[in-house]
Amino acid sequence: MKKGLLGFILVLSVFLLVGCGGNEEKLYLLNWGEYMDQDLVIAFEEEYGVDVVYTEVGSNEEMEVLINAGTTPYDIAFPSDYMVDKLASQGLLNEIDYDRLDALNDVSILPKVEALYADKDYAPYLVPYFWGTIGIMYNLESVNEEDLSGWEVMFEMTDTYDVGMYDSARDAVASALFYLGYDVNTNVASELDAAEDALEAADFAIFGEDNLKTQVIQGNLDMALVYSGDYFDELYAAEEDEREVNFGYFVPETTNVWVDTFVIPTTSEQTDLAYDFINFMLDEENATQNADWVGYAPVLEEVYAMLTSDEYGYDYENYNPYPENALREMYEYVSEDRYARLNEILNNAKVN
Amino acid sequence: MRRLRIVALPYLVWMLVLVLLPSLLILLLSISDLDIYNLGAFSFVADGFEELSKPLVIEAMKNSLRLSALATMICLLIGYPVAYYLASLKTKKKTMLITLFILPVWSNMLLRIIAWETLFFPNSILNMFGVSLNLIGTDLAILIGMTSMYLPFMTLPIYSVLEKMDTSLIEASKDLGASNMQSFLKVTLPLSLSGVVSGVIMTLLPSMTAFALPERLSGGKTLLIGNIIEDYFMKTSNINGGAMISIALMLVIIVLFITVVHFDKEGETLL
Amino acid sequence: MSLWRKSPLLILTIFAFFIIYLPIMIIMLFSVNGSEKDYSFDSFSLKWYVEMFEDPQLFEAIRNTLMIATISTLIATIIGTLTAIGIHSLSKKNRTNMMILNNIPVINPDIVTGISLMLVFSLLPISFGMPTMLLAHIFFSIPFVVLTVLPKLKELDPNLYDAALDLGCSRFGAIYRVIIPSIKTGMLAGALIAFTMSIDDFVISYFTSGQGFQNVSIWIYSRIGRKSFSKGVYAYNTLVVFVTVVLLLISSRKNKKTIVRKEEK
Repeated sequence: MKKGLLGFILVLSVFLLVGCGGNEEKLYLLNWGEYMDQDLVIAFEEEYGVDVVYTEVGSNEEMEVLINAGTTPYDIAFPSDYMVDKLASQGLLNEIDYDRLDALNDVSILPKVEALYADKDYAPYLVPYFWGTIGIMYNLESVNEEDLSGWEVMFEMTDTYDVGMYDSARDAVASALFYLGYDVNTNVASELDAAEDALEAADFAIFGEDNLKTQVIQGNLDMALVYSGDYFDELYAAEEDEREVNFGYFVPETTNVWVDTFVIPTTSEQTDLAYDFINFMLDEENATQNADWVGYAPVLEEVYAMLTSDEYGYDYENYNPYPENALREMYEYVSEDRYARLNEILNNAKVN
Repeated sequence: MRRLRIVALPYLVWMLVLVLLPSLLILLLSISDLDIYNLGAFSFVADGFEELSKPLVIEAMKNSLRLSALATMICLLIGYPVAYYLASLKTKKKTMLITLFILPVWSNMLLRIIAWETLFFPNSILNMFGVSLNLIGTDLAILIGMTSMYLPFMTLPIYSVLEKMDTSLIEASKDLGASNMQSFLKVTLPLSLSGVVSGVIMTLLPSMTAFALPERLSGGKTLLIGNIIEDYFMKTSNINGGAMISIALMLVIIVLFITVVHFDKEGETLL
Repeated sequence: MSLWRKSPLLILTIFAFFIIYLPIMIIMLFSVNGSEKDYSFDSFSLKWYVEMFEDPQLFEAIRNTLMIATISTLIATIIGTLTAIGIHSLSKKNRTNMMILNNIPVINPDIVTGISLMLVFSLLPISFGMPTMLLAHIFFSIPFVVLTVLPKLKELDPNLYDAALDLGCSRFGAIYRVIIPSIKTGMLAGALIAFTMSIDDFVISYFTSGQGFQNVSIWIYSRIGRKSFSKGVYAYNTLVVFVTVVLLLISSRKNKKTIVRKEEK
């Protein structure tokens, strides 16, 4: 009997091993979790007769580690603005040949998005994917909206409110720099020190990531620093469940605007296929479907117009990351030392 | 039997390649500026030692030692009596009971940590039962979490040793006039030490290197050495600094290990 | 022990079971929560159990986890047992040295083992992904098998092996017929530990994976960041617990039956 069991397991294992694997060409994607409609990926696989291998990560830094490690031939990755800067400066990205992006003959990138990176060194290495802001998600029942005048509500009112801070060095320090009125990419020691003091002085209830938005809704936090995407994820879920929405999203006058992008790392071995994929995702119909599925603000003019129209109904307040008269700053990489300092600031804020 | 020792040879080679080689590499990384992604020329530097003297790192190491020592003690204080009780049961079901005790270990640790996290907030599913806890950020939360995760690891080795123990020894001791308590202290306890040592090691080590658990249950506020190492390798990509801290951690663990194993006079628990 | 003595221990044991199982019960609760989000329990629903199979990423992660755990456990048990036999035959000094080497992966923090393996594998002509993760899991599982089999070997009568050889068995025959049956429980315990370590491993798998090969822990970790994860994983977890409990009950029933049958004879 035991031999039979052993034999069975061996056969099963072999079967499972054989079951996975194909001889088709493979396209390797490195993306955030739940950041692309898988139906589209499958459609691409069928149309082009290839196999898409999808790796998911939860942060830009992880993406960097994986690309650097070079152990997988990633063809397309989806880093954020500053990470594109860093990867490009390390020579890890291929320049994008915009002439090969036929899809851009039928759609165009929102001018406001293009303006964000047009004059940057790393502009030739990216195609924008989605964009958004960071802001303050708050519980409607426990927060007096009059208090939401700006970033100061997170730093000066921690006696009244339970405030959650995002466990990301760049975003946490950015909020402090915005609060103090400094440039979000400053590397002036005294300004960073001031940010550190502000973060240490503010008594944050917790430092978290995905749990921040959950706890605001649960009422364990009154407000928290979140990505616009976090807020919209919750909004859509509440609508789907037909639940009452007890939370809101406040975007201070000056805040960060982030842009996630398509890039082709130098690890890519199938660059032609990569261009096919990017064109596929830029196709108006596909991009619309994807934007509807993901829920974040699209970067293509036609798609944006379609989603904010009555047909899709995405014309929420704060859906537009960059309204008129708003002040927005995008992150820059600057240097490794600066990032180490930012990390140190965050850790000090946590501990004190 | 002597002639069979050649079977161990392949293992020797395997371990030398997979253990010794990388250990040397990590040692090299910690005392030089070798770039792990572009192996090439390097020079020896002492930057690594600077990392060790940073207040954040020292604080984290202290936190780790403190919390893992406490957690291990709690697990021992609960685990030993439980192991004793389960081992003393006469029912045939006792194997099933001890297996049930171990079962949760097969359940994903991250999910269990998240489950605890939701319970420690004031507004949680416990409100249905009129209970509201506000423990996020406290050491108590971390200790409860660690106990929940590691209690099976402490209990199982102690149970196996107690279960196999010859009960006639206890009977003999009682016949010779010892009270229950004396029999326990002079006969049972010493004989079960090897199990206790295993249990302590299986609890102390993972709790020293935990990072997801403290991150979630302390609301990000208590940093353990595991969090620091994760920071170095995954966030700031400071591989060399991270290597140095890892080596420091390994040395601490080796010291703890040797100290604990000392109590197992019986002989070769793990050696 | 008198009943009086037993009560506090019984209470403590129940408390211990409670503290270990509480998170599992919560996960079970989450797995049947009809609502998208954890905090409001709107309705009872089994949709996450379906979702578990429908979400391609999750399903593949589950399949990978089970596959790696099964194969690595099998291989580690075989290799570990043979190695333990080899180590047992060494002189005391060599044995001690081998055991130090054996225990290093056990003592090392996961992250050190994970990164070490990644470094070594990157120097070898091996592709990252399933092969490397499998190797990594075999690597950290073998020491546990050695640790559980070795004590059993010590209990063995050393003359049995030689007696078998004298009676005409080949070396492998002797091992198979004499040694293995006596150390079976050790092998099983080692296999169980290996399976446990493998099924839940995160850090080591994370660093030795590649090409999109994910196990459940990596999948969860990748979702925890900016996005949220499908509740299907709660369903998976609950199922794992359920299945193991059921298997446990079945096997304890079987033991009862064989005992009864023996008594009937």
